[in-house]
Order: sequence, then C-alpha cells, then structure tokens
Amino acid sequence: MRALLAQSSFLRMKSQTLESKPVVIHRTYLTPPPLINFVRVVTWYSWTFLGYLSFVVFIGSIALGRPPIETEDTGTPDDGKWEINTAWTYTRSSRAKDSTLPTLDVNYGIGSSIQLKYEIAGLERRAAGEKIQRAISDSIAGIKWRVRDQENFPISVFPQIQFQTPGSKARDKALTEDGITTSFPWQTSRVIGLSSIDLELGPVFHAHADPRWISGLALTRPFGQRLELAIEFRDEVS
Amino acid sequence: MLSVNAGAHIKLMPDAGLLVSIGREIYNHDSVRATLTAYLGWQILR
Repeated sequence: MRALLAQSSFLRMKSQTLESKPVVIHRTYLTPPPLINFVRVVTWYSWTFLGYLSFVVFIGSIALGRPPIETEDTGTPDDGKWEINTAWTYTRSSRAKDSTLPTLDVNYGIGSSIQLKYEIAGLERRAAGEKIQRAISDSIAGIKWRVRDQENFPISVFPQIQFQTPGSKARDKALTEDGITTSFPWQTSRVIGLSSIDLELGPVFHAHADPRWISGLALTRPFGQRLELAIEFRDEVS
Repeated sequence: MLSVNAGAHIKLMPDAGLLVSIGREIYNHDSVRATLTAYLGWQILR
C-alpha cells in the first residue's frame, strides 16, 4: 500500500512543475484584513493540533502503515502476488487545482524481499484564466529490495526512475519537467505493539535541478480487522 | 517543504480495500504551497 505514497510524491512533482509557470495573481489589498489573518491562524493551529493529537494517539503503539501516505514501508508483496492500486488524487493550491484520474500503480512480488513497480497516471490541471490541460503522466519504474529481512528492524532500498512515457504530451503542455528523475530512498521500520513507525530517507536527483533529500516519518496502527489508520510527516529539502 | 498527511485503509473484501488520505503542506519555500491534497483509491491484492 505504501506504493500509494510514492504516487503522491509523483503527483506533487507534477504540481510543482505546473506551479512554476508564470501566473498573474490579483491582489486586492497589500496586507490581509484581520479576519483573513484570524482564519489563517486558526487553520494553522488546527492542523498543528491535529498532527500533535494524532502523534500522541499513535505513539504508544505504532505499526507499519498501509494507508495511502507518501512514506514507504519495507514491505513487499508475496512471491508471485500482485498489488494493484487505482486512485483519484487531488492537489489544490492558490494557483491551480491538479488531479489524476486514474492513477495506476502496479506492484509485483518476487521471492520474499523483492518488489517491482510501475506507475502511470492521467493528469489534469485547472488554473484560473487558463485552458484545462490534460495529458498522460511520466512513468515511474522501481525495484524495492528488503536488504535486511528482520521482523523488528528491517531495512529496504527502493530506487526509482521517472521518465517520459512514450507518446505523452505532458512535457509539451508543461505538466511535467524535462529530463529523468531518479531517487534512492531507504526505509526502516520499528514495530511497537500493534503499531509501527516507518522511517524513510534518501536523495532525489533530477537532470536539470540540484539534488534533494526526502525524509518521512509515518505512524500506523490497525483498529480491528478491517481498519488501519496512519499519519505522517514528510519533508523535502535541497 | 514539510507536509502532514493522514490516511486510512478499509478492508472491504479479503483481497481488496478502500484507500483514503488527506493532507496539506505546512510550508513550502520552493513552490506554491499545496493547501489540500486528497487521495481516494481502490487496492486489489491477487
């Protein structure tokens, strides 16, 4: 399931690329009125409180996350088994509304510690005053290898490459960046009771940009047989 | 860029489940901050 998380990163790349286009921003006033400031402050503290509350709830017992968050876990599908994820994703910013429909993420297990991955999506961008742009996304291919296959301290590496899908017009429409992007994130996990903590850290290299580092902390816990919840904090720096 | 996301996996069938997540970027110095990210998906295990 964590493969889903990678999709989000992937989409975010698209989003950032899109948002790098020049956009005219109409400002009504130089400084926000008090009410807007108040709303912003309340929103900020609401999210902070939500994050803190979730952390407190989960910290007692954390489990490897399966919900669709970005931080990968060390898990792989069983030998010869498929994990297929289809999804609608949505990203809203002050400049655009980006979505995918669908995102297709196909994973296949080889042996007890190898996972093959391929991901592709249909992209759509809606920006004020601009024509709606649609195209097939870049492709992402990857191999996850659980280097240390221990129950309580597994370690895996998940190199991935993002490249232009043959026939895609996404780059012509500035929906994706030129060049190839590669990433080499490492993952580890710690099980505590029913729950777990996942950590991820690794570099991202782009053909036309400085290297970046991604890091993630995810806390996950099952509730009963059918429900699993997770929260994560994700950072990306150059 | 720092973001926070929360998600859920709801197992509806032995080999399939619903995936949901929501989140936002707390700050982003390199690009426009995403004020909302959402994910709604379906997972099949075979």
